Amino acid sequence: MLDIILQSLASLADPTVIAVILLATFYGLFIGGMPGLTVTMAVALFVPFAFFLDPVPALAAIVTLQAMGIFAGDIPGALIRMPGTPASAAYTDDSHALSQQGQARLVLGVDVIASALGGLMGAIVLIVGASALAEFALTFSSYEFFWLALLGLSTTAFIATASPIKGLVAVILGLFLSTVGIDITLGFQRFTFGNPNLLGGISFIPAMIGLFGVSEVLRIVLRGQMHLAYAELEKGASFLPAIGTVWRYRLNALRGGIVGLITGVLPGAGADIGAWLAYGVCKRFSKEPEKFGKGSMEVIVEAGVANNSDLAAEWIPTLVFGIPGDAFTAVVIGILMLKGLRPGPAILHDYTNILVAIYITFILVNLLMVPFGFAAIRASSHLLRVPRNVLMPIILLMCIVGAYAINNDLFDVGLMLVMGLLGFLLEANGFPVAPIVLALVLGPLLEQSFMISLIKSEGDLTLFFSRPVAAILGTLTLVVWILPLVPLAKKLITVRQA
Amino acid sequence: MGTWDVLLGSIIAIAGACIFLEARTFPNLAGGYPGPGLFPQLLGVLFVLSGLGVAGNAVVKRAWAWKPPLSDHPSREKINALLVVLAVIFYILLADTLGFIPMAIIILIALMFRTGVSLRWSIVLGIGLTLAIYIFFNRILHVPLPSGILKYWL
Repeated sequence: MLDIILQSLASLADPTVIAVILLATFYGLFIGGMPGLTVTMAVALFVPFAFFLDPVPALAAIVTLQAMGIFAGDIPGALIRMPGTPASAAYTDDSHALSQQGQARLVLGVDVIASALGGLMGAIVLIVGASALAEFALTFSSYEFFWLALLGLSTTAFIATASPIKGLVAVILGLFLSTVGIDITLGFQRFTFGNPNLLGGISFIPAMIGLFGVSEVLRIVLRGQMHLAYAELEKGASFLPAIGTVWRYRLNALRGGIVGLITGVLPGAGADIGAWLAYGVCKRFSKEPEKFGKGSMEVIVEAGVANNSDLAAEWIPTLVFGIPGDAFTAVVIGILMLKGLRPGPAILHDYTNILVAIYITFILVNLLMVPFGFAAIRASSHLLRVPRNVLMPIILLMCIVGAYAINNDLFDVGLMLVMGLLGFLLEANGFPVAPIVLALVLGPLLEQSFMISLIKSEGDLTLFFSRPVAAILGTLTLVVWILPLVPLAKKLITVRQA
Repeated sequence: MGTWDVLLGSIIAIAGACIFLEARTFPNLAGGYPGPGLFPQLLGVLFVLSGLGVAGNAVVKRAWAWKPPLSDHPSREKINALLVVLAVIFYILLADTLGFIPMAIIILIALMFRTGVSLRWSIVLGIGLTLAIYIFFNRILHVPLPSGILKYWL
């Protein structure tokens, strides 16, 4: 094992890898810190670069981008009450309220420490959990994989969205898009309409760049707010006071970390769900619930730890089962496939070096987050001053080049535009976009495991519950389906009683 | 959002019906086992049900307030958004003929100027950023960006 760790450290010490990690740090802090630009968009635009990198630098960059971007999302949340990423939304009101009271620097300092702490907790669980779960996952059959994929998609449709029915539409749309192209069983062309560009299916990268990049450019241009007013940082040091604050709320930090880890391991639930859940738990047990939304420091610590501990834990189902936790880890699967690494239980044995390098990167990045995070806080006013009317055309051009770069085909640029317009139209009408990407990635696994299970069981659906783990996963999936109906049933009962 | 939900829900339901009918024409596996059509057929049915759900939900909530699309946004911003779409279409149609560099310069200058950057800065940034992106992608990452009218110089 020591050999593998040393080899992985050597691969990370490569100048290219160090340069990539540093660039990803700045890129993640910049995009995460820009209000309205999401980390998912950042990673979508990064994928074409990943195409030209070796697996270790590509994955190290993704880990860095994710951690730095999610932390930096707290900056515009605190200074202009506009979360940089959905994961920061849960405690934006509290952060902003405290900033208005002249504590912006302290709040952001607490965000850095909480994020780094959460990230380290997640990294430890990833290291321990992935290997343990991989051994267990080797015994999985098509039934378990079917339920696991369906559980992930059901969670993202029914729990991770404001409107379950619209979440369901997004998932079905993604699944439908995954069926386009040549079918693997008979080599039959499905929904290609004779277009040779669609034989290989809907290309994942242009689709994602369109859904997250072009649609975001359209939204920001349409909003027209190119310069933003922001709260000023107070003078003084923030490192030691931030450490002191997190220490004062250490039990909240621990509880937030556990909540984040649980949501992270659950397929289909991303960092935003982790943060919201931690917010709810914190409010439930707080001695000062009246402060929530008006400047509660304890919720900033608890939810801030939760969203970053969720990030590393999300990699467990992603690596071990090939089931991503959110749109971000869906991209990780895309990159793994692009590099010829098939996620699944065997990945831990087949590519141990690469995985250990990922583990080390997680620890390294969360340690690096402290100095870089505090530097980003100092630079935050400059960051928010970057005019968006200069940035948006550049992002559009990067989208065009990124979509084109994978296959050197203008058809992909057209596909990107169509998906961008689709994403814009859907989001403008309250349909979530992230489940589309998740379903596009999970579609082939879901269909394949469903068809194999159906043929094995000769159409007997009870056999889908015949194995213990499959039965548990199947029951969990059914619970996720029933959950959205509970408020509806309560409402009906209340109406009847009235 | 109500009226749009009724409209979008209906479109989703109709699209689902079309997917279902198209997938029914797909062949089965030998021995009568379901083939490549089964999964899309199920998705078609789910599309119909969820589309009806979206439309039905809006009807139940009696959300009839009709708002023309994008009516909350000023017309200048709507034209800017339209320009973003046209810029991509323009690129797809003319990139092979004109090449990446002229196309990118035109797109950057037009969009920056239109969204409030001064003409001088739009030109400086448009040319500078295009060259930076070209050098990075074409010379460093070796992405063969269309050279178009500049093919003898690049």
